[in-house]
Amino acid sequence: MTTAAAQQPRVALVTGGSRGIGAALCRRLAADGLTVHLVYRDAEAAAKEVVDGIHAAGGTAVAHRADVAEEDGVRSVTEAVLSAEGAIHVLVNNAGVIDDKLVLLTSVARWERVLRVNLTGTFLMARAVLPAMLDQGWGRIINFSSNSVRIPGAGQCAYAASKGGVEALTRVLAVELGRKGIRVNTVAPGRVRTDMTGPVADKLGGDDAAGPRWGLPEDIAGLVAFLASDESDYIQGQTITADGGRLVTRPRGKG
Amino acid sequence: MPTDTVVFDQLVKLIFEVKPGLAGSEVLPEDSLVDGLGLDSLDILQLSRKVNRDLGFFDLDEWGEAADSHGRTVSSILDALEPA
Repeated sequence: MTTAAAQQPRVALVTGGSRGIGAALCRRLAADGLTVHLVYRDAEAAAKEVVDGIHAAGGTAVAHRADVAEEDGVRSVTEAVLSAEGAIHVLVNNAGVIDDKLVLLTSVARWERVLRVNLTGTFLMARAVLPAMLDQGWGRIINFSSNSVRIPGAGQCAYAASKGGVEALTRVLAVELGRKGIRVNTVAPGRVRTDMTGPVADKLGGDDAAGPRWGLPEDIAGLVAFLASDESDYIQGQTITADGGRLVTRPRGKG
Repeated sequence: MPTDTVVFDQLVKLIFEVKPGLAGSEVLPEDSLVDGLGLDSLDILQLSRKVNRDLGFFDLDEWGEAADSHGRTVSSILDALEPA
């Protein structure tokens, strides 16, 4: 990256940025000095609230309405950001949906919608920003997976499959693009309290004094901020779990 | 209007940007970008964007379709270039 480019504020594009983890990491990236463009699909009021909050804190943020599952929408939002900023340095593919059903009860339409948003959306967004990142010779793509890839619950066929695909896509992107200064990694949060996890929170259990607590969106934002920075230059193609240790904690036996 | 030599030197500079390991080495018009200089498809995509930005309109798809005839030489890019 040239000196001039390094001096201008870096530009981050964050999907699913209006709520939950996405909102927290928009606030964090803006606080770190990045110009944040967040993408929301439906939650206009929430997106405005995030943008207003960032402005009030002295940061810069813009909200865009788009569905990451739609190629035209992805192209439009990417072109809008490039037109306004001339660069996209960081892409955070945070947008995702959960639609848990047992395999036998999962219609093709529901299966495809989850894969379309979680996996195809990640692919479309990455493909859209890569030309700019190639021109810059610098980029950071941070994808989102889940502990559900390794320890899925019943009913998570579409969600876990989509996130497994995201992890594989991350490695492919890393292999293809690493030598061009672009780093691609995945964050795999554990239980984090958000609007999206609310409906399944009862299945995942409450806080247990003997086990990892539920995470907060801010617990994830710090990791994303690191992966978006120069300091993460030697981290490539990885899936980094942030779950308070849940994945490595042995279940307690009864009695 | 830049001379052919100036444009060639600009193109070589862009090739070095895409493939820093080549920096300082001699590049000839008849060198193949792929077989001689070792650029792969991603390198060529990156180079085509730089060519379009700095040298003029360059149609990568059209150039790629004619690869058998021009051998993907450095000069073939200049031949395919439509000055801005």
